[in-house]
Amino acid sequence: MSVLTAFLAVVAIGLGSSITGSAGAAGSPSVTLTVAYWSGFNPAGTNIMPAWISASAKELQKTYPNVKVVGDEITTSSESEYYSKLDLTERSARTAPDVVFEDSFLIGSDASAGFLRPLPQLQSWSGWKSYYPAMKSSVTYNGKIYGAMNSTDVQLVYYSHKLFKQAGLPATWQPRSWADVLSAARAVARHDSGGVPLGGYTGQAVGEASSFRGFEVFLNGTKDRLYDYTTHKWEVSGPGFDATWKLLAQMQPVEEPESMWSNPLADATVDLQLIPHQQVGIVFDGSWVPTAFVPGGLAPWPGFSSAYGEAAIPTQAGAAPGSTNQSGGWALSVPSMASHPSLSQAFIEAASSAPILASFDPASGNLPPRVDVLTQPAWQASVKVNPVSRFASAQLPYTTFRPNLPDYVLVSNVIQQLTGEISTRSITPSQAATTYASQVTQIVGSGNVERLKQ
Amino acid sequence: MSTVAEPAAGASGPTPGRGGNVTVETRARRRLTGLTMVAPMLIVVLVFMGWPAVWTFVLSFTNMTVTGPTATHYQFVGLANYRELFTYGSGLLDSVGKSLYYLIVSGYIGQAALGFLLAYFLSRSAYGVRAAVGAVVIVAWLIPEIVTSYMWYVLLSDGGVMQQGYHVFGLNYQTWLISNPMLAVSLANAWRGAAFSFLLFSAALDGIPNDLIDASEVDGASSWRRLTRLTIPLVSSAIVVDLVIITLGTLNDFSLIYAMTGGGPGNASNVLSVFMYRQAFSNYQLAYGTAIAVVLLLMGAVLAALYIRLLRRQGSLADMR
Repeated sequence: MSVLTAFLAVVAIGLGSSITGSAGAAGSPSVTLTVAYWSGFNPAGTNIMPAWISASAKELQKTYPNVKVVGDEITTSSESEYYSKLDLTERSARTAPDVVFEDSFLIGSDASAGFLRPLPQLQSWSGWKSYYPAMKSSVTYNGKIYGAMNSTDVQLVYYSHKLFKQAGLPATWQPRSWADVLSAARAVARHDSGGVPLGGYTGQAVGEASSFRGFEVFLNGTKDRLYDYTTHKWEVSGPGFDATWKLLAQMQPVEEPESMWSNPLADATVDLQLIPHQQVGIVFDGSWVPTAFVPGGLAPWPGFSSAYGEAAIPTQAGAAPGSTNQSGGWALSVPSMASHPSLSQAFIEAASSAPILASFDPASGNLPPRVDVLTQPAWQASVKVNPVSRFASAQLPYTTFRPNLPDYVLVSNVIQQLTGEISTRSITPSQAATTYASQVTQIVGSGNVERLKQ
Repeated sequence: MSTVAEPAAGASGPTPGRGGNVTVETRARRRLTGLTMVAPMLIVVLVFMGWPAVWTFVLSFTNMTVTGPTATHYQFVGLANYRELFTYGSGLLDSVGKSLYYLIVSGYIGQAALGFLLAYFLSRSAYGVRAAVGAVVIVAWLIPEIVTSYMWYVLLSDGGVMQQGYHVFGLNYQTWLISNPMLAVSLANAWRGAAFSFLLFSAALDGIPNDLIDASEVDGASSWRRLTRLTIPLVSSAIVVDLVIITLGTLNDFSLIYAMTGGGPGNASNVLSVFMYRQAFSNYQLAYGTAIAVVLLLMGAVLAALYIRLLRRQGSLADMR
């Protein structure tokens, strides 16, 4: 009798829960979407990411009124630690967020791991056709789309009017070759012993920034590339590689001291300490730098535009088109293990719409990945406050992107390590060239590399 | 000793004649009761400590990564990770050297030796001095490790307290975190960790009977002789415990070094634990990182076994057995 009673009780409980469940579904219960993002995008004292997520949620709720969206800020000191944490959450359905905010260079790698869900329907989304070509390819891996870009950037050379004047250099400057950059930096060094003639990124402490802005943007100014899309092989050596390693060694005597570049906050030292005090002559950095100085930014400084000028990054010897660039940027994607993929995609479309990005991109110091954002009132208002973004966005139609391949992450680590070793003079440019060729060959396999001849 | 102990044990046990089977049963029951009582803890240890250790060992024979195709579809690659690790130029040798430096300078000298000397001299000092110095040392230990790291970072970094101090005396300060990062992190760890050894040795020294000290003084033994022939042998069990705990704690220490230098500049403070972390979570080579973890584990185990063996051979561990 007691067994029967227990059995009936279990059945009753089971029925009860299933009835509750089906009733909830019929009544369109509230669904909560979690959007994981990196703390580095939401510096202390700002509200960039929560504001964007909340504005996007409101847009989404016009169609799906019962969907709630919450942000999950993942706090790490470095970007690579964020990717590690994010990838670990994507391994299980219990921990996978509904939407992930990640640097697009990781998309190929995460897609090949099976962490991300292909989103072919994005092609039929009305916003898709407005993306710049490089922004579409950056979220595409093996012919499939894995997300939508929400922000991008270009790389620029900033130069101090004050230190240039002291060194007898022109008030308006556009270097035509690497030699122009070196000679200007050396002139600044001769006239200003207290400051830093040339600021850039190098070494492993700043992670991807060192390979991106400390190496690749220069390599793109030669005839060599990291990856040859026609032969589908990694280029591991060639005259362009040799010249780039040599350039880094030539920059070393005029770049910032090791104590400034060898920690994860190196960019803050240059951008938020040296630049406002006009203590750095030339800076190779992203288009986001002036965002810190606009009203409401991290360190408002109305004088930035009159203190520093901006120029495009020259090619090695002035070869056409005269300047070179490479863009990064972040995208929103849907983990394979996400519980509500169609709602996740609807959120991505809302968060990547032109009016929303017109507010988010200037706030986060980025450039829009879609051409139609440039005509939005919010973007045009931001250009008045931050004129550099007009110059920067003009570079977007011609920009390039990093190889969106799983091995890129490992190749980038090799570059980071070698740039640091050149900056500490632990290795010579020719040793760097040899090490790069052997380590990358080891990573991608000897059948997947090519060596360019002189 | 044994001739006295055996009859005493027999007297307290069951009486012979009706007792043979009962004794066996009682022992079996006692064993079962003991095992039952230990079981919950044993299960917790096996599930939460044993399993991760075994899984780490298993992963070290795979090619698992954090991202990329082998993140989910990983294969067993035999000894490939270990072969790569033990190849010249992998960075292992450099990291082992730095870990040993850290162990010797911050563990043996900065914590064990300093902790012992502090305890030894304070045990002979006035109560007030003992209380004041003891309190300062223990407060350093009570501060969370990450706070200690930040304090020492602020003290030694560019524009930090140390640099200001040097400037007052017109001296030029070479940022220690850059010029000698291993010494910088070793000092911070010793500052924090000496308290543990100090407490352990204070308790052991307090346990030495005063009449032994008095007798040696009457016999005319010098202070040095009393220290080396009497005090140290009498606290040898505490020394072994201290060395085992300090060795494992120092070799596995990660957060203090990572927070102060990140293993840098370059690889200048890339001790094994940081090397492991960087490979696993910055370079995304999860399986390779676990192989380094196994090496780290073996290093600690070998050193711990060595201390116990050396001291047992000297017969100074009689009181531990």
